[in-house]
Amino acid sequence: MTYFVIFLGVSFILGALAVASNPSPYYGVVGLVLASVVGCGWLMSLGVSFISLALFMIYLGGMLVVFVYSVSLAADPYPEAWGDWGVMGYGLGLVLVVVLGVVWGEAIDFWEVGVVTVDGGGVSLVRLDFSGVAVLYSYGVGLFLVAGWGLLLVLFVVLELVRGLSRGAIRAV
Amino acid sequence: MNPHAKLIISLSLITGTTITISSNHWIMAWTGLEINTLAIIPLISKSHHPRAIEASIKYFLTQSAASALILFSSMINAWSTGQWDITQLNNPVSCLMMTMAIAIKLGLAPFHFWFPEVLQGSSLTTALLLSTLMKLPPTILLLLTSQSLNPSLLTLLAISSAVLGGWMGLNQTQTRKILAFSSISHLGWMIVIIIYNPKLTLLTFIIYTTLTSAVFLSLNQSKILKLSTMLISWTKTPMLNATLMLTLLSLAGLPPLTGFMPKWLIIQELTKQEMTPTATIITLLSLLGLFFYLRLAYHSTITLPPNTSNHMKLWYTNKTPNTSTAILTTLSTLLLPLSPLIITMT
Amino acid sequence: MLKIILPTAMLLPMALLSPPKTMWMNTTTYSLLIALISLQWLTPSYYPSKNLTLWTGIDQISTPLLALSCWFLPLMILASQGHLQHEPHTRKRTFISALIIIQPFIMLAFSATELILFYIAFEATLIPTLILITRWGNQPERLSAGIYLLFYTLISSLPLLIAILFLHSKTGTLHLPILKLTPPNPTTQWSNLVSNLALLVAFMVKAPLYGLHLWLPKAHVEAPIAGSMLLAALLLKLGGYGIMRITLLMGPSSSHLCYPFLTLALWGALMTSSICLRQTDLKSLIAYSSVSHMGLVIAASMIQTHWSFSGAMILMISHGLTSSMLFCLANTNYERTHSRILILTRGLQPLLPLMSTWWLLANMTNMALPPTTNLMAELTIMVSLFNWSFPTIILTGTATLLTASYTLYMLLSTQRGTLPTHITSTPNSNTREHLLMTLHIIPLLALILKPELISGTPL
Repeated sequence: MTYFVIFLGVSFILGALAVASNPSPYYGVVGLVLASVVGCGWLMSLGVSFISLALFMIYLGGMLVVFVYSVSLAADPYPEAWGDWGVMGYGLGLVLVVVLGVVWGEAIDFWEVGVVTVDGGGVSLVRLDFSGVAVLYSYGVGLFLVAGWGLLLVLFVVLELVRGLSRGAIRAV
Repeated sequence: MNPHAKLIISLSLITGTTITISSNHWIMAWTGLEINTLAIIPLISKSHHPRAIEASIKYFLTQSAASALILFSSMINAWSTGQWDITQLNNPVSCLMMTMAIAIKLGLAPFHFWFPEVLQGSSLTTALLLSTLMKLPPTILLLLTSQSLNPSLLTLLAISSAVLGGWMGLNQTQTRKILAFSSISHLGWMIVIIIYNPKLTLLTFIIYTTLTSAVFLSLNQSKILKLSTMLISWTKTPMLNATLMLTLLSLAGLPPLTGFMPKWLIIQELTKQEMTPTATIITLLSLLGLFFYLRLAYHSTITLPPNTSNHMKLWYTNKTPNTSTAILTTLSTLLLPLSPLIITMT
Repeated sequence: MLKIILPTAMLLPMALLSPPKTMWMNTTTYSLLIALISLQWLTPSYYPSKNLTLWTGIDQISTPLLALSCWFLPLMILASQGHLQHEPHTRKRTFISALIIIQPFIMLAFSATELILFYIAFEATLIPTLILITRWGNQPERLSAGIYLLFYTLISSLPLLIAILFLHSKTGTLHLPILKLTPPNPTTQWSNLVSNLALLVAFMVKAPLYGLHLWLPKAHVEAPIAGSMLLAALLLKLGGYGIMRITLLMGPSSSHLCYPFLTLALWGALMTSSICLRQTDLKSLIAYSSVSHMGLVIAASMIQTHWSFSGAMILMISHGLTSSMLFCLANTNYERTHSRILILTRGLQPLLPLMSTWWLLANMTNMALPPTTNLMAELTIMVSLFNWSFPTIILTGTATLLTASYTLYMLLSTQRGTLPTHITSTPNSNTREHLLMTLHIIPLLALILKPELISGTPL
């Protein structure tokens, strides 16, 4: 389990690096998907399955929309992939930052001033959260209802704001 | 506004407030806050004026940033202590962040900039909602976490709110902005006592809500948005203007009106806690507020010329007088002799 | 207590519900009746407090002031009839209600034995006074006069509230008779000094002490006649009464504290008398003369001897009646000439001969001529101050001299000399005004026959 969690973490950082090294959006979205999937798994292993699900839905959904939008606006004839020099430069610089961060974090751990959490004892056990959606519908049903009401309200508010052709609130400005 | 939409929105306002003030879990409190924020936005932008849209956007941005901070700090707390209980906010970092976030939500002094402008952009009734109902959930959150908050930070916030609320209200001519600054300085009074006696904060909130509702509803009766409108409004509602003056002086906290009660009790509690200098400072700062309340009072009734008005007559549809205005005005002037009863009730 | 306070409170429905024709008559008669009943408070008693209830009780120093405040309500209503006669009826009602609302608060303030109740009643007189001045005053400057009144009073009295609550947290009680028995609280010298200062300054502003007095001439000049009478006769006395109550509570540690106040009070008596000599405004002159007289009261109550207290008490009562009468006289002139400037209203004796008799009587009491209580008061105060320190005789003596000279100046410039040419016709003085003056002067002249009614020293 510990190795699995470390694998997820490393994959998350690699995915983030893949996005951050600034390739063309066609390629960047691959890194984004990778990072959100493994980030979701990582969060679940820390015991926050609802958040991880929300993260997965929102980031994947939202970011893909952003991706489609940006691609349609800025369609490159020659997209840059990770093999190109510019992207390599960004990537190497960011790897350096990550390495420095890890070294510094280890140094903090060495002087024992790091944050101590409830999960600080390790993640060697398999968590209940991996049992999935069933828990959400049984224990979290109240929260689920409230969240549903909130999302419905968002819909209403947006409709109310953009309703009416030229008399709508947003268009009136 | 569409009545169905209005129903849903007012229902959500009540639901959001209820969820927050009755919840035990940070996530639920956060959800309630978000529902509240979302529901008030159509009410602010109801008039479709560019200023109203601007106000609603400002409100949305600050409130969602503050809610995100609340969520973040509660998460940090849960991360370090392993529970999501609102009353057990033990991590100092998250405590600090929570105080800041709630200060943003309430519009306490260093984070107050959004509040007057949002109030200025919205209608009088929405402004009433914004300065009373929308401040209840954050106040309750602060009440619930009050035992673990930092006293000196809160005193600092309170005093700066009293300073800025009093000072910046001095050169305003718009009634909604003046009432916004009055709300800020009243929040200062609520925050200064919250650690030592949280019940007094609640009492102050209730009394403040009564007073400010009376003022807002009286202003709404003849749609007074500026001081110059107020000056000639006595031809429409002479009696209401006379009582409005008393309500304003009550808001200023002059004895023997209701507004004196929270000030008296707060000063008493502060002197009991060996905080006489703080009490002196915040009391003398309330005089700044008194100046603009007094100017409002002058404009409402005292400067009535002894002859008939030679101004142009304003449009006046014969509205039926509002019963709730009468009740609230009575409550906000005559409640001081009942203070022992009220103290035991809260 | 309640048998006076409840009827006074019931005056309010009486004013609001009386038919328009009989409203003045009803309220005046009713309040005179209350004043008559209130006289029974003056019966001597061997107990320290009479009519003691849980929160109120009256003793030697509050009795004369209470009787005075009951006496002044009908006089204020009488005096206001003149300038209100052209107003619509509802405004007359509102005016009378404002006058009546103050009355129970003043009575509560004078009779409260609980400091917080005293504070609330003391402050509660502020809002009706503010309304009287800023709503029924004449010039636009009345608004700034209202702001001065409110801010001077509140800046000094909010520290008083804090000091009272501080006292409560230290001693556990605010009941005056018990507070007298509790030993001085063992706090540090510094906090003791500051709390004593905070306790005193509110009353010093209200009294007013020279240097803190700037609100008073403004308020007097802008106020309608009832407001001036109220300020001069009752509200200033609240200040003097408060000083006498609070100095009794202070231990001997306040002996250093009394020097600045004494100095300012005596020096102020001298200075304000000199200011009176070069006043052009009649009401402002009378207001400054009030400040000078109240300076003597403050000085007397700061040295805390039996003689000085009884002198201060007598001076408060007789000054209340005298200055109120002077304001009434100034108002009768003002209603005829519509000016308060001394140059424009001089030489009125040929026009209003009977009125000039009242002027003479009022001015004689103001300059403390022999058969008046004013003389008795000033002598008592001067003697007790002389006993306290010899050099004070220079200040008090000069102040008396200046008082006599400015009073003569006021009398001569309003009554004697040639009539200014712009006064071509004036209405006659009417019976209401003569009644008003009579009701002022009779107590003044009668009190000298039994001055121990008002010379009460606190036990």
